[in-house]
Amino acid sequence: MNVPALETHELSVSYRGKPVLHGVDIEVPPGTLTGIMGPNGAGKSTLLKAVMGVIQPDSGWVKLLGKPLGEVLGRIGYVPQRESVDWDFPVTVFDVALMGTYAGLGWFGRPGKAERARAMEALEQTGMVDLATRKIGELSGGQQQRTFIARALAQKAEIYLMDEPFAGVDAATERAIIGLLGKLRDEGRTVLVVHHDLQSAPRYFERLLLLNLRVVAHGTVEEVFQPEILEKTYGGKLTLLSDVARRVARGSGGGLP
Amino acid sequence: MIDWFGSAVGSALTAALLLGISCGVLGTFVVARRMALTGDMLSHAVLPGVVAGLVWSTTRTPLVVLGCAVVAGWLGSVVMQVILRTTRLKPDAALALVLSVFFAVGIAMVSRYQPSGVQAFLFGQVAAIDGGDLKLLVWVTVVVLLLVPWGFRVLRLVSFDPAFARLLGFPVRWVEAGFFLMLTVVIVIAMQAVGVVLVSAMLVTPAAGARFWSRSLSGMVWVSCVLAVLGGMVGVWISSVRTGLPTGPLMALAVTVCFVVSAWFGPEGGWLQRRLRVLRERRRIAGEDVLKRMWHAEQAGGDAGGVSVRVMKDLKAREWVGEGGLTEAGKRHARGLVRAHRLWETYLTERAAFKPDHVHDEAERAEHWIDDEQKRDLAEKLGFPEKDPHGSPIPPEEGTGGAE
Repeated sequence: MNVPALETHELSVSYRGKPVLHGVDIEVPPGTLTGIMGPNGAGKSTLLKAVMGVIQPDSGWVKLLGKPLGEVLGRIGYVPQRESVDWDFPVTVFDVALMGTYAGLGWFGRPGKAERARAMEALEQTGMVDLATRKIGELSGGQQQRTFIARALAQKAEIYLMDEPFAGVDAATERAIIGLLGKLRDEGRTVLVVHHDLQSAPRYFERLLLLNLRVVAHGTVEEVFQPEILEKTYGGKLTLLSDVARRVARGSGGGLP
Repeated sequence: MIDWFGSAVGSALTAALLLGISCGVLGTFVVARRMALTGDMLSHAVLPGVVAGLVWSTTRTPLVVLGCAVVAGWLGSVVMQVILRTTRLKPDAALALVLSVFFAVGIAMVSRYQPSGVQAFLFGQVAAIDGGDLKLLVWVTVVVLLLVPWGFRVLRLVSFDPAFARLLGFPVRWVEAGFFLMLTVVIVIAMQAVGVVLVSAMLVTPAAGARFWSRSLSGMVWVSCVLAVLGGMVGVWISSVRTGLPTGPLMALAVTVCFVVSAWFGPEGGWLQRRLRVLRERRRIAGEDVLKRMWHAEQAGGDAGGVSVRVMKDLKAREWVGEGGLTEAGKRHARGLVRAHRLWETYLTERAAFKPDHVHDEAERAEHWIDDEQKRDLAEKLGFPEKDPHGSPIPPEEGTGGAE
């Protein structure tokens, strides 16, 4: 295998004194489309945040494209969870798509013709050209999601991290987005998607990462999408594990009473 | 020029102009980032620093006072971050905590040391802004004017989506630190003009008003500068004409007048614009109701009854009605309305458990608001029904038509 697109080693994260992930040890091969799944509070978003460096892990490390995050900045794309975006912020759809091209511009460079064309092309691919001058707060849920997918496309990143891009999205948008993700994969890019719906998962992804506070299973859909593994992922919380881990997190500082 | 600066009114007006620019630019970001309370916190938290600076530098060197104030403001922000990280307090409570404690310390220091010149910071006194302050203000304004437009893109990105900005390789922490530094400096200077409590008025009000004029952040920056400068200078001018009226409150009030005017007449969601839209929609609905009545009458071969002259003029303007009655476009639009009406009735009875005899009024209202895409969606969801719950046929989909 080539250098894995994403590699984590014994990654453990706690958030506000609550342990969220333990010893996550995964290698994601490049050019694959992976679904990250698990029950609520399983640590799916947390894993993405730890990979992006938004949350500092308690222990373990992350490598992207074989290097620490600091050396591959600009080559990693990200689609935020819809709830975490301030939809009242005064930006238009085109502004957001254009942000995807900022990586190559540096501090004071202004987006020129090439960047504008790239943003426009991304909006075309997501079917958002007609709404380019709209404020993002005036869009429907599906359109909002398309806007951020367009930003990701305009970025032309090598690894994409997407937090629930299908949440609150209509069926047509869901089909459109999954088509675009497949295209990104075919271009050799690596896509990791936090996903909720078990039913569509085997159709949408070629690899699955099942999480429940730790990695329950990780591999191709054929290997992982098995009743007993799913049962292990979704069936009941591991109360003992989370209880002990909570005490550890509190005791080792940074925790809350 | 020398004379202008020399006269009290001249220097006060200059101060208002420069302050307006700085407050307008930074205030836009403050409002867009929902940081209005943070600005308030900063203006109170800097007080211990201001007093320390005034005590230390008896000649009131602006840079010393400013430096001490910035340190105090920075300390306030740090304490706030520590509170947020280590307790379960929400940001608003943490803000209030820091604001009141730092202000209390500041006031205690004022009573203890009684430094000269502190009155200006507490209550605002544009006249107290002297040559030294003015020079500093010029520099600050120049820095704001140079840095913000140049770094506008980056500052906007960091404000809107810090996680993404970081992934792109921008030093988010440094950008934030720079923004906070500029904000604190501007707040400290604005305090001397309007007083600690009214700083928020200069920072937040113009930017809030700008939202009614522009949908983009860059547009808002321009408008908010204009409003802040206008309000500030008018405030200074009135207080100079009517002696006895304090400058700070007048500036705050004048800026507020600008805000109210914006909220009424601004084209982006101002009261007048919304009012006109409601009236326009009412006229469309009245016209559509008559159109439908005429269409039903034509179908049944009866008479549609009287139609007011105004509505008839409307229908003719939309080319729904011609010399010989309904035009093709008019008929198509009417069928679209009937289709929306009957689809909605079907939807309400089948999917929302309405009783068939209760859905007519609902559909009568809804038919004007269901667009073509929604009609297609409804039909698909309902399995392309041909009859509504009352047994009337649902007109099939056609080229265009329906509500706009």
